[in-house]
Amino acid sequence: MLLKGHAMCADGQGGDAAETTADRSPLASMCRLAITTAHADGAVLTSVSERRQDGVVFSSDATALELARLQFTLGEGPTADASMSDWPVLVGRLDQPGPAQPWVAFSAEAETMGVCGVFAFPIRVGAARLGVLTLYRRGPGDLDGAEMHPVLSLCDRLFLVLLDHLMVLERDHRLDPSLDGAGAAVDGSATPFDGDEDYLQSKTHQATGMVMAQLEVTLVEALSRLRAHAYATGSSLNDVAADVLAGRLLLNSDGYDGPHDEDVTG
Amino acid sequence: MTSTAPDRETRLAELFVKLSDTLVSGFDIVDLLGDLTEGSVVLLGVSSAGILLTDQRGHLRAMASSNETARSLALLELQSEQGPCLECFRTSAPVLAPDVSLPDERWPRFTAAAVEAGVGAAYAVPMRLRADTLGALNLFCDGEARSEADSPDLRLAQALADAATIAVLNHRAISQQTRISEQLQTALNSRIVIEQAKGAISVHTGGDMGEAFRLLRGYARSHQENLTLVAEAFVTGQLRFQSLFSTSDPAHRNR
Repeated sequence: MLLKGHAMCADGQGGDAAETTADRSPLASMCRLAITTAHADGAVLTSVSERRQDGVVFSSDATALELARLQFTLGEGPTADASMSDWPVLVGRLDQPGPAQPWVAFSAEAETMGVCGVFAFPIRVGAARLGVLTLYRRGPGDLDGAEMHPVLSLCDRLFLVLLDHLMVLERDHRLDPSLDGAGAAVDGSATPFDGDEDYLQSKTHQATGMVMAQLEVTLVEALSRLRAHAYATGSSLNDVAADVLAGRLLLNSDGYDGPHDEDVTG
Repeated sequence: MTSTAPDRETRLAELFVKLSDTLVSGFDIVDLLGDLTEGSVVLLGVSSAGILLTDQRGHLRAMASSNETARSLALLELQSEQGPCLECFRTSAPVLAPDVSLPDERWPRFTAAAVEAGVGAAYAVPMRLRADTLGALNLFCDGEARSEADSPDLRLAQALADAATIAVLNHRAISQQTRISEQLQTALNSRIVIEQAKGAISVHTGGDMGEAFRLLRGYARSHQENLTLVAEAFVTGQLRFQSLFSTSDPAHRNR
């Protein structure tokens, strides 16, 4: 059961930043797959975005949603820690605090909600952070290898799906006109790079950094622009990256640009 | 093609000192693996070396390469899913191709690419911890094919691969609960952060990625800071690019 998200953020936009996804969207499907794979009881996907403060993108049930709200209110918890970590924050037993589980207030509250295990996975590529997928269990127990590995793979794929989702939100709220041209393709239903093993190659990471420095935006925004350009031109993200690296393509701040044959920087 | 004895001994000693540096702050796994590949070239008398690591989810990734040849051949092997390094990883055993021009049904595409790159011989030894194979150390020799008798010292190569394995498994703080998955994932993530930083810095070096990396590494070393942390600081705006071109003055930090 999906709940309409509550306004968790301070940006005053009502339910906007906390909206949940449609039942059959790839985002929702992937989150539910994570729940099944990890033998969890629920999940909440929260995003960290420069323009829209921390918000709930997907929640499977009221408990999951409350776990996110609770951490936002308390300003502490595994999700918050995972948002700054490069490895998941895994707690098999909230009722056994230790140095790795310093959230006294959160643990107490979560336990009263009947939550025993919390597993928070950062959704990020290198230093480009998009959000956190937090799974919870009512029973005690750590995640084992057979659960961890598939969930980690899913989180890798979830990055681009979440990026697309956030881009659509930005476009719909006219926060970034440069994404308009990406059109209907960026509606979250197309995941052209699914199953492509090398979907993010070194050159894509380098190109992301280049665009970041050229436009003086964040890594996530740089990736969004590369992605939007890929959709608009029917290319793959890796091919667009290659063009950026070779100087054949220079994305500018007014919107993605076409090929440059002269005056290419560098 | 072997170095003179003192050169080699000094180099070997330097490498071991670097490996023991895993215990001090400022240590970085990507940096260390880079040093290992460069050290391998000198110690083993080969033309280039590369290290690949698995994410344990079916993907091998290139972690370090001593030069462009090693890097592009590694990528070719990964993309075509064939080659001595992949074979080595799959079988967890050393793989020798002392004459890459000889057709080998295991890697036809690799053969073509290697010959075109001017490579004569290729070798790979596994990075293994007991039952787990974490990756492989790739070695390439330019020019003429070698005979088996003229192969690089593979026992030493295996020792270097073993050292790389240990470094990867221990690069996270010892006090934290560690798992192989976590070690691998964080090492691979570090690699990505560094690629992102290289791209960003290259805008200031006229697109020269090699120079971008040298600037980044130079800054990290002169400030005795972890390479990945420095890279992350650049791409998150905590450090300004102008700092790369100045002396090690903490006042330049934008924290």
